[in-house]
Amino acid sequence: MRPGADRTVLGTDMTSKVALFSLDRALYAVPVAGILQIVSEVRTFELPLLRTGVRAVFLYQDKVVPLLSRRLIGGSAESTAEEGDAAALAVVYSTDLGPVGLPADKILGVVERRRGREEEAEEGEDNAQVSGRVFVCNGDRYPLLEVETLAMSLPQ
Amino acid sequence: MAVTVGMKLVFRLGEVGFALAVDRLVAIREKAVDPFDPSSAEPGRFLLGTLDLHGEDIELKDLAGRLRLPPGQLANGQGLLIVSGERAPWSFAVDRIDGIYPDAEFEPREIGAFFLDPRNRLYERLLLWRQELLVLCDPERIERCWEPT
Repeated sequence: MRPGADRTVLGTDMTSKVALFSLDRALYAVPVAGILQIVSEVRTFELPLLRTGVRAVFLYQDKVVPLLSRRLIGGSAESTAEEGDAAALAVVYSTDLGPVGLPADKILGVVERRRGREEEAEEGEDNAQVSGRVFVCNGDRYPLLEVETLAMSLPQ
Repeated sequence: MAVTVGMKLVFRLGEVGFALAVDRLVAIREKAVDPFDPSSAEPGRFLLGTLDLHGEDIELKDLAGRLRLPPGQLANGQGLLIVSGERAPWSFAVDRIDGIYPDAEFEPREIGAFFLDPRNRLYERLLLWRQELLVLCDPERIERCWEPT
């Protein structure tokens, strides 16, 4: 959560927590510190000629926020055509480019980093291409998304 | 003394809504029954042919195709908008025309340029209208950016 935001729900130190979520039956982790809000039933607008990797846009606090594509999260920079239904949730995440939306099917929880461990992704490990790191917790491996890097690496 | 009020026409290409300043609109043809001449069509440049406007040939462009939206079906009675360009009027088919509304109903919204296709910047501004985001259709900008970079 950004400075000034209400921290009482998630605890006192956002920097030490990760949010775990699922998308297309894959698991992911993202640092809580950058999360502005998690929104549901968001109305999306699939505008024409968006940058590859951006599926649509939506309104958040009166601002236009790009929603990254499922395939980008899953490690594919290919066309977002025929991506299927919009995800149930959007994780609104703060970046230097402004807020971006990450699609999510389900939020699995928020855990302190010390409850798990961070590792290098194994060679060829699915969905861990962007950060190359994985958060391991209770035996499950969650590719750790670096959203800033993900947004900056949108293909031309 | 006459008072002019800015107005915008709202139209659809597929599921996407657009708004066009009425002072850029030359004419509306509600049904695409007027014959157009396809002999000068250039599919590679999204040109479908020419229309007759008061004895003058104007280009009929495939705007939906250029925007990579699902193609419309001219034979199914789409409407045609004829708009003013930098050099000459040009036209394109639309799937639906919602109507014409005062500028006060539209609020500008920005989308970060980074999130638009850098090789196809046919638009850059959005408008919020009745809780819906519309693309602001600027015919002169579209003309200038028609060829992909």
